[in-house]
Amino acid sequence: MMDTEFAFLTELERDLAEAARVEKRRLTATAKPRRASHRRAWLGAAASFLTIAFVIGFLAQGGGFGSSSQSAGGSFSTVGSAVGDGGGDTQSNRRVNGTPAAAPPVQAWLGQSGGASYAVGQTNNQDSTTSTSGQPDLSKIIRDGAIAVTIADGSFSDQVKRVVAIAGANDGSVLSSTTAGGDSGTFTLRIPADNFDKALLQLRELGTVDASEVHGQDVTAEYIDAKAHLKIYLSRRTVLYDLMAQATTIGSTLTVQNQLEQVQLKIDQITGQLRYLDNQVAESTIKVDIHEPDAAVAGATDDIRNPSLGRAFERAVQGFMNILAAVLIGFGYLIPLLVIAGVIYLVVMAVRRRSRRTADDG
Amino acid sequence: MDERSDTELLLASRADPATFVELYRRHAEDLLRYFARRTLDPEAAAELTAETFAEAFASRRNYRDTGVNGVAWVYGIARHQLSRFYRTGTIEAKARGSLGMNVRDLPAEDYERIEELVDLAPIREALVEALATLGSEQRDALQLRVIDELSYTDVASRLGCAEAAARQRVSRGLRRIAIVLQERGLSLATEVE
Repeated sequence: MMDTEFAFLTELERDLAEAARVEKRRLTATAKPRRASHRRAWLGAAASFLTIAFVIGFLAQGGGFGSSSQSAGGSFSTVGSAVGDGGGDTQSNRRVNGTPAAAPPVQAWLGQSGGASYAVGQTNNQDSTTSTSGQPDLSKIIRDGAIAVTIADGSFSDQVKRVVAIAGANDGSVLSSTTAGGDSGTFTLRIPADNFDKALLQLRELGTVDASEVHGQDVTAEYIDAKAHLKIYLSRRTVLYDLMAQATTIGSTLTVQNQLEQVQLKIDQITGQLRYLDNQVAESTIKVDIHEPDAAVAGATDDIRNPSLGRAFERAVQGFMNILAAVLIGFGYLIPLLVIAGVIYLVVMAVRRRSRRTADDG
Repeated sequence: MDERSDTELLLASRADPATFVELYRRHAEDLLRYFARRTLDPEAAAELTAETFAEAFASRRNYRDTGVNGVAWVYGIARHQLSRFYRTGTIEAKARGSLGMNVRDLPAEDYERIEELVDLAPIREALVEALATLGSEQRDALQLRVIDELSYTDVASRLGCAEAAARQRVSRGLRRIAIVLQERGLSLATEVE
């Protein structure tokens, strides 16, 4: 206690000492929580900063992460080429496109896996065609193909014209087309089977082939079977015509007529089936996917249909890099703002300090 | 005996509030005298001393060591309190309230001791002039106490009131005079203790 003759000052000292004790208790009690709350505040600020950076980066990229993960494979993924283009890819025909493998395999059709006698580019839709053995070539094979090509930047419009031109030059047509974003599109071409390989080769020249795929479906047996049935029904119809001519009663006439109608129906069905097969064999379908390097291509469902750990890992890494890139881009926008805010803060603090000092001195 | 300087005590009191009490012990009487000589009013001087130290304690974290003795910072707060007192005639209890400190009555024995700190001789003439500005009750009480130098017991008996009431009349009268003198540019004290 202070040495004073003023009782008032002694009481005041006691009051101040009590206030100091209360303050000390409060400081002790709040020291740890304050540190924790400071840590939480910093963590919150850092998390907010990262989130804001990510959002800004995401928006700065146009609300997406580009298309690199999707554009390379396109819809056709990583298939090799089964087209006999003179290059070395004719051995490869890994398919991942979801469609069941055609029988016989394309390699067999290409005459590269043994057991088949058909040559590349050979026309297979003519009954009258003769093979090298001199026997009538009754083979009926439906061919379709798919190709994904990365084209040069800014050349999409020109390449679309080229696709249409290729279809026309090979006596074919564009059955359907879908374009997206002005830098990618998918086209379905119908090309005479004779020109299938030629058209595919021309399509490969549009740019860098990401993937290509050729399917061959041998419908020879089905065709021959249908032909045989048709022959039988035609014979039966001839017989029925004769019977109709000989029928003398209404009952027998009606009976023969009913049978004739059924036979005729069968003949029509088989004829339609044969015509369909002929058309399929005569014209091939080529699905063409062209896209510029950075174009987004819808095809993500392939990975779902054909899960692959390797691809999943690739996509995970790519996703990680995309997020990182977005955050970095966001930093680029935020850092100048932070610098400005820091300068303003320092100025405000300096002004406050000066005014406080002036007040203390005054 | 703490040998740290006032500045060191103030800085240390941020983390150890009890250190501030040592600063108080060193300067409380001087500050009380400082206020007594400027207000002429023991009650006002005591209250201003209490409020100044309370405010200094509450805002000690704002203190910055600028090379000047730390107590000068406390006197800076004292000057603010005093100018507010001259301006409004009242003394705030805000800082004491924020610290949970009571506004205490001044003990009777302190009252007269504080009065003794004030040397009224140099301002006696000015006092007579300033007395004319007071109400009759305050003026009579002041005249008996300051001019005739009677004790509070005698002042009370002359005025026919309790001693405490007599002391309050004198106190209020002195406070009023201090303000009037200040307004007329008459300094009640020239030095800062």
